[in-house]
Amino acid sequence: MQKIYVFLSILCITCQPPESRLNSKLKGHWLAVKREDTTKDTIQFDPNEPPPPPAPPGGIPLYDELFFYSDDSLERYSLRDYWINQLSYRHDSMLIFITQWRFFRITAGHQLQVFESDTTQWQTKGDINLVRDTLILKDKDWVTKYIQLRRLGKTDFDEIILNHQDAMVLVQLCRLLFVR
Amino acid sequence: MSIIIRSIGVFFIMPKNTLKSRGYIREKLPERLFEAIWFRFANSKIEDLKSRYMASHTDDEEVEVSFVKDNKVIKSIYDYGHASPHVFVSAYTYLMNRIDNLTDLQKSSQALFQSVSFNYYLTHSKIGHSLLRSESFWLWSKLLKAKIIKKLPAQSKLNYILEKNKDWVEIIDKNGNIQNRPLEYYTLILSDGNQYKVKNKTLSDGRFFKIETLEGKTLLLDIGINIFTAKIVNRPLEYPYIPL
Repeated sequence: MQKIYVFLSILCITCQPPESRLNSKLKGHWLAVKREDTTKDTIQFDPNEPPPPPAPPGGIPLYDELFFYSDDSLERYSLRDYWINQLSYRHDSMLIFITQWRFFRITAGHQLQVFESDTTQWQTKGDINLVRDTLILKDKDWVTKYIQLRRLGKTDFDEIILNHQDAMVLVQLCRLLFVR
Repeated sequence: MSIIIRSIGVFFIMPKNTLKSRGYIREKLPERLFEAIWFRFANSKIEDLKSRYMASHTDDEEVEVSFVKDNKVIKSIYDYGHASPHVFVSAYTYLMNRIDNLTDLQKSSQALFQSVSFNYYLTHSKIGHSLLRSESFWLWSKLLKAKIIKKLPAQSKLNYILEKNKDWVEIIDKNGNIQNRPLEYYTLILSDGNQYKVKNKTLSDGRFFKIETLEGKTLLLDIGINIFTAKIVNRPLEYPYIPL
């Protein structure tokens, strides 16, 4: 009986549950955008903010893992597994399509954290501001895509004028049909 | 759709063309929406954009965007078929979608907005080219606010001929058939509140405009700024290519 207890206790000690995304300590260092006190047109940079990481050599993605935190869930995507196809700004929130069927939505309350895998260069933390801190999708080639965070500077214009014209040929065709 | 968004005062201007009133709507933009629109355009790096983008297919929509700084056009972009960089496309698509969704505009009929056309053709020293529709709309909005003066200043020389493309109207003839005919005039509601039917051809020097009405009256307008800057006047002849 004692042998069975010893065997079971050794078994319990040695066979720990596999490391999962919920119980493991997150490795590496993460990169995020810090929200600053901003005025309407200018964005003041934090002088204590560490410099950005060096530019990656050609063809290698800058960040290979992407973590999205919200209040109740933790999502983890690896850019090696899923290519980010599309970035949409059409609504208040931002949609990122990982594949054709999987996408997730970021709203202003979410924290976006991008982890670097093998470097220990610097750490910052903060919420993403969808208006001023913008995600830019960059295409290196047909296969590799990566995400970079960029902060907007002062605008050098004070009026935007837009004129939009529909496809005139189609409009004319429809008109002819209705007239006939 | 034609729209102006101004950072000073944070408002937008849209043309209004209904049976009761013709002019423009000027309304306040929500602060947060303004920021979202503004910084999306700032993100698109307008200084790196080309002035013209053409897709290789046909039957698509065209978008013209102009940026103004200190009452001068600093950049105008013509985009046919969403051929410009996706950051810029997403900026103006966002703007168009959000303005469509504003509740105040949903009350009024949006279909009638399209009947206001903005297409001015500029001729100076035997060289002519058409203004972009966004620039034409900007000029039209300035004309509506212009001061009506009685006499031109002595130093002003009206060397430029500004001609608006003729509007087409549907007329039912005696046989009951619908015919499209060009109009020799267009309607302006000036700052005195009166509605004028003015001829398409106008003399100007960029700031002062000499406009003739159908009744034979001559109107002298002062818009306060010189609109024909080097960016507009010294434009290459082939620009913009608008398929007619």
